[in-house]
Amino acid sequence: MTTDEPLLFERSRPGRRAYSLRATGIPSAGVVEGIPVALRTSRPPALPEMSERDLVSHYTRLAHRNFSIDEGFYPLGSCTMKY
Amino acid sequence: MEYAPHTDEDMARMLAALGLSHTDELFDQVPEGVRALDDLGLADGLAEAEVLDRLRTLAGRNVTVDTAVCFLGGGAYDHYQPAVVAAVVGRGEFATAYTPYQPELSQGNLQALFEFQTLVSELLGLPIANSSLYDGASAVVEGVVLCAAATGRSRLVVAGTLDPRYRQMLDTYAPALGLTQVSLPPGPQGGLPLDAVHAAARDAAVVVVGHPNVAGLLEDIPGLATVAHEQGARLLVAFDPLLAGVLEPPGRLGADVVTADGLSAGNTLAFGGPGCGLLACRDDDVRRLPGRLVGQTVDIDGRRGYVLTLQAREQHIRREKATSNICTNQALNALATAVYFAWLGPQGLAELGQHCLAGAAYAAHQLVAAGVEIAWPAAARGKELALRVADPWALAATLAERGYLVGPVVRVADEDLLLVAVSEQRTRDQIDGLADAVRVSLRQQRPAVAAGRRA
Repeated sequence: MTTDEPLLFERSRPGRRAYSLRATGIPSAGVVEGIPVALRTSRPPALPEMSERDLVSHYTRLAHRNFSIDEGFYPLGSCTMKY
Repeated sequence: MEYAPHTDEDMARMLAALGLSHTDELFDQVPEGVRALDDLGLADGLAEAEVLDRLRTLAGRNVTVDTAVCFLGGGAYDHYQPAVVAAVVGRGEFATAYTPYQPELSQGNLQALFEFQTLVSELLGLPIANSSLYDGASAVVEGVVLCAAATGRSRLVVAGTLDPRYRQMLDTYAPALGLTQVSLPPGPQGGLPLDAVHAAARDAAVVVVGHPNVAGLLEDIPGLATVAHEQGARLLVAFDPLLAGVLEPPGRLGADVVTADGLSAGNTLAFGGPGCGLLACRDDDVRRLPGRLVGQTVDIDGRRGYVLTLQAREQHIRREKATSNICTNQALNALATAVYFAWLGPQGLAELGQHCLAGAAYAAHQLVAAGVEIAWPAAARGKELALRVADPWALAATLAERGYLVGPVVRVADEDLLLVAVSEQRTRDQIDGLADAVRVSLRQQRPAVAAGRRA
């Protein structure tokens, strides 16, 4: 198993992004104003900010820290039989 | 794939080690009269290429979100699933990993699930989240069981506007768990009326509501929390985490348990699953939390590591002392959901929510102009609308013929309403096309009126 990999949140850097959403042709500025104030989001959700490159390297390194049946034999009971 | 790869040499070696001369001897303990026939009546196996031919033929008979414009709602939505999700969950180290009982071999899985739990906690607004359940419906059931145990009460107050499949699952589990239910209809604005909830919540374990509800409407979560708590009852909210960029997570508005469904967040529609259920609760409920929980610790060298923890809730405990019996999760689907939300990030989630809200508002406007009635038109909504039409099934069928998928039809307060959901995938042109198709369909359903106009 390889070296420690930081958590997603520890690899987050302000301004990094991976997503892209299609252009809908429908203006969405100010649409949140239609939601009652008490139900509106009070702050941006604390999700990590990562590029797709960061995401791929993070999960690739986590994969390297996982034994799996692709790699070798598991002498375990019922789940092995089902597989 | 060849499932029985053993060569004659492999088998000879194994038989020799066992002191046997033929594989038939392995079945000596099975009584002669019940041994299987040699011929099971199965056709010869097909080559992989032949199987793919057959499946392609069958698949060609399906309508998909790629062959029709999807406005389907009711829990399974056409949200965009990014390529990076498939790339990660398709890795053999994740797709063929065993359940993580041996943490030394499973740090990749366990850390990914710990990250998933942290994401869920943030999206639902409560500090503790498990590593996933089967789906949104069973998450509601498990949350209800938690609240019944926490309050020592056995009455449930369930919104009549909760997803009918969730209500069906509660109907299945409640009698066996000694729980009784009362269903509350929506008020004139489409949400649950606070005074009715207050009255019904006396001696109740929990009030259960969807936010948005099945008709796409937002509920007064802070108000519901107040009236439920005044009666000593908990509040459980079934939330849509894809709207957590525009709606405040219910856990930060007073909900005691928040659940959600991860099918459309990183997973594929695939006839409705598999997906995963999300559940979050307060710190002091952690020992009643159902499902697997991953915790952070240090190993003997002081390095950070992750393990399944608090397993005496349900796994390493006598059955009658267990608080729940899940002992599993939807690990690969939870991983997909985690990658999805990490791909979106805070800005992407906010934009996605804004696109959905704007799309639903535009669709409402265009559909009303096309001559259709929206249920509770003035109420604040998320990404879904409920149409009130004379024959919702006929309209859905006609629209499907024209390449627009709407539905399902859901029964709410003695009415059959036709759902229309607008995800961030839907464009202005597609919504205009839907409205035109509705206009034409409604006209066709009223030939006498059209004839009258021509005369």
